Amino acid sequence: MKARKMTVLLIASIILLLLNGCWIDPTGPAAGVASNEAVYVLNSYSSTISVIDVEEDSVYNDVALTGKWSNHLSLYEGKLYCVNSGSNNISIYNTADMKMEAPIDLGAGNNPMEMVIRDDIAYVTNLISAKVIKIDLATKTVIDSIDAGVGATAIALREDNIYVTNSGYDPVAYSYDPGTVSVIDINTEETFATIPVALNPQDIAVDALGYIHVLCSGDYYSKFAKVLKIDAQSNTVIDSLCLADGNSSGVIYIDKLSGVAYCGAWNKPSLSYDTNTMDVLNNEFSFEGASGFVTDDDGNIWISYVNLNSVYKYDEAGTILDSAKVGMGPQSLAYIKK
Amino acid sequence: MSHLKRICLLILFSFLFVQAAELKGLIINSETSKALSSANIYFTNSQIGTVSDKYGEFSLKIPTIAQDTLCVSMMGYQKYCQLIKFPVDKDFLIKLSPAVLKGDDVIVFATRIPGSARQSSISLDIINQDELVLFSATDIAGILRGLRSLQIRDYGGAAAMKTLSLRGATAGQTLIILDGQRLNNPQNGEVDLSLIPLDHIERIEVLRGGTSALYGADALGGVISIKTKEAAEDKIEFSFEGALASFSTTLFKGDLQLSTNGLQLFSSYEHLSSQGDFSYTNIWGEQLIRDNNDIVRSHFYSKLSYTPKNYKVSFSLDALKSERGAPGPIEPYYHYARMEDKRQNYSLDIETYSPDKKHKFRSQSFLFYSSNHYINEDERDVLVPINDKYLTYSWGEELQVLSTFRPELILNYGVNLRVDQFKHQRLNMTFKRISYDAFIIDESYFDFNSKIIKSLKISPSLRFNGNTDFSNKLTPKIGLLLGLFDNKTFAITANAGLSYRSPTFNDLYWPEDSFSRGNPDLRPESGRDWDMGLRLKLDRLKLDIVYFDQHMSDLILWQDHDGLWWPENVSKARIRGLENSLSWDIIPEHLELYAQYTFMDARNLSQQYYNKYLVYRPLHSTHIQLNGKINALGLSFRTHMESKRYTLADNAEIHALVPYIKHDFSGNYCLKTAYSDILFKAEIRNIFDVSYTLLKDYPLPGREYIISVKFNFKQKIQERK
Repeated sequence: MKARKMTVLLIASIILLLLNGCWIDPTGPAAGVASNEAVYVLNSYSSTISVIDVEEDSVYNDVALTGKWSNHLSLYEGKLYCVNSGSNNISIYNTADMKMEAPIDLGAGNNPMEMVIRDDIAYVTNLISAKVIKIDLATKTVIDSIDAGVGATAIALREDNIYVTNSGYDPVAYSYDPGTVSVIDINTEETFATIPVALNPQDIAVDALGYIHVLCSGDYYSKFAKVLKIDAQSNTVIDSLCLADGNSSGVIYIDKLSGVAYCGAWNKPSLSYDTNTMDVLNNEFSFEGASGFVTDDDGNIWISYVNLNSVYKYDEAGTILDSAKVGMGPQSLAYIKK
Repeated sequence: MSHLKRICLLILFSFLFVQAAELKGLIINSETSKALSSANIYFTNSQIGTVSDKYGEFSLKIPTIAQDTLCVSMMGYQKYCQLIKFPVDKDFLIKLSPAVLKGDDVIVFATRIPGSARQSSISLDIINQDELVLFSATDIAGILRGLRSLQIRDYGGAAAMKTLSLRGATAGQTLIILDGQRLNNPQNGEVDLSLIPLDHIERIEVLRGGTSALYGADALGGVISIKTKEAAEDKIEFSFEGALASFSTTLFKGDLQLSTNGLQLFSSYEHLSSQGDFSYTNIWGEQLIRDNNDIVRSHFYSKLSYTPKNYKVSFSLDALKSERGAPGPIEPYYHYARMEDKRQNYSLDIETYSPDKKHKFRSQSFLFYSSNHYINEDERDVLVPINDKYLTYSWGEELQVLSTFRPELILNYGVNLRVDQFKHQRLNMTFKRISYDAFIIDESYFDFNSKIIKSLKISPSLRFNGNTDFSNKLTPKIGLLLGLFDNKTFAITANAGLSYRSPTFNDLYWPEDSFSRGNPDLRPESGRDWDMGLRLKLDRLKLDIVYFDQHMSDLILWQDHDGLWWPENVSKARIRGLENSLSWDIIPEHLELYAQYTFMDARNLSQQYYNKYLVYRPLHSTHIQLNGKINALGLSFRTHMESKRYTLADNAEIHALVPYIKHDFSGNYCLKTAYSDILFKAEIRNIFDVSYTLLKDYPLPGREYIISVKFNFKQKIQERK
């Protein structure tokens, strides 16, 4: 009886030990990467950054953590800056090794959205506080805040002016006030013009000739997206392009070299148009769900798809050259070539 | 012979025949001499049987054969058998010896047909009163940790919400019942375990595997059945306990038990208060304090039972109120959000027997009310003030019959009607669902006289589930238990069945806003599962191994449609694994070891994340417990380990929760006096202050200390002879 008991115990122990020995976890966290030519992908749903090494044709997923509800990437002097709306901060990464530095805290209740950088100074729009926060990147300190409009969202820099889209969204009433663009002199920090635009301006870009293109997304069910072209000298709308019925594009990107603009929508294929003539070049440039664009030095267009968890590479004609699986909900893209 | 003589002989013969037509007797407890009611008495060959009445008396028709074996069986007592030759000329006094119920011999009720755990094909665990007393937990989550295939999702601290996952199923796919009534909230399908205190709980039974055939909706992963206390017979007993713990936590509970002349009263009250603040480190490396994590919780329970002849009537009231902080995740942190929960549950149970005692009837009526109030109006936290109150009302009736045709053939069947009503107070929207079910559960037991196969138990069950919100469901299940060699040593188990989970009111009717809406066209989530196990028992050693495999389809997932989120039946999953447990009574009454290891491979089979691991399901989990007892001193050492857990559907390594090992230690000392017991307890949880989390962005407190003292007074009122 004793021998039988010991046999059972031995067998049980062996089974448990063997199974416990299978305590081998799958591959550990991704290591940091240093790339000479890379596309950085902000995976908003998974709050991570992926790196597509263009030179090595490799993808390194989830190499760094971002804050909550990360929104926008900016590259400046070898550092990658990520705007985190939920964390109310800017996280910073050294592109040499993708190691994270101490973040820049913007304070609770701001909801930062996007940023532009000039001469070590960053300008960050804030949706809830309706301000543009000015940051000294050298000291990582907030040095000032400038009043913008309700629902300050996107931002573009042209010469000494920043252009801020004010969506006018009222979260209590679920409605939109008329959309505007604030024009702010970065030297005086004064808003010297407020340009009325169409409903819900969500994004903004500057073309090679200095015109401002504002993408107004509409209300998503009865009024749809249009692009308004603004003359920066007169601060007036001089042209417009209505996107297709049902198109609620929320992202605009301009390739200054080619003069082509791209608009991405959740529910429609991407659309490209000529920034000079405002003529549509291709209304089905890519799949629907395009959420981020960037061009590389070879003139290729990289597009992120938030619902596909992928980034695709296209030539100017819209032919797919390559694709990569990245993290969850890729949106903002940034490109570097050292 | 004269006519008169013949007539006298006939009369005498008839008289004798009438005298010998019934066998009468009395069943008593061999130790206390107390009469035992509801004992099963039967002849094994002629299959004539009855049940003892309230006074322990029985009357059984005598078979026409020359002799038969009379057997008496009753839960909690050793079986008694005696060969009887007919005719008989005396009444029988049968003394049953109480069985020392431990482990597999403990009676389980959650299977709907009461029987020993060893006799159930279902993989189950039972936590009884002796074990409950030894834990210093503030809620049921603290008791359930460490069981096979069971993970607790702890949002951090005494005040925080806690849910569970059983066999990889979500909280909404695991049914939790209290005395037969479901606690799963129809609004979100889940149960917050932090709102189930322990003052009124007698035992907890955990049934693993799809169990919709027994209990209907939401039992894909299994059932957690909570049984409340009842007053022990013929005594008055009261106790009170006070505890102090880390993070400014105080706990007080008291109960009163009174039983006399067929009247039983059990009442308990518990009050918990905790400041809850603890330090943690965020992703930016900052050391912060987890504030707004306090709770004040009060709970009252009372059950009054009356047992006149052949009836038992019970009325119970369960009331809870809780007010606590609701900080949410560490980002965005809600320093000012508050939550208030209230719950009231009324239940009326009536039990009776048929005249031949073969059929037990039970009627259970209930009325349930709960409210959940969430407030955050501080502009430092939120842009738009939130003040939402949700009200849930449920009422219903279940009628069931337990028929014992023979000890080897028992049926449980019944019908159930339930109405759930949910109200969103701010939007003034009300939703209602009516559910109606019919079920039948069978247990058939066969003995074999072969060298290897000794017995076979087959447990088929079937339930029709109807309702007014979605399609009706038919959920069958079958269980097999094959006893080999000498029945007690070796057994093979197998179960297979279909289960489902109802779409919740949130899923179906979430009010439309700019970002989301409900989907009234949702179908229930479906599951089909099977398991097969091996039970080995050798003297003081017990080994239990079960392989399980569950396929889930039509899983409800909230999806983004052009910026508007609404739920759809789009996902699939497969969860399979191996549950192992080892119990070793090293030195009986002094030293015992319990070890469990679960391997669980839970995979997402949806198109987008095909074959990725489901989130928060560890591949490996282990729990080892060593209990020692020397006279009045008891010691317990526990180790719990979980492997890496992914937190995102794409299994991003960077967000995975690291594996952890945590150790707890507790000790207790019981001082017995003439009229009272005093139990001193001390516990240290997470002895080495290991930093770990169970949910992303929800930190947990580190090392915790708890000390408590419990005074228990009891006095016998009378003793029946």
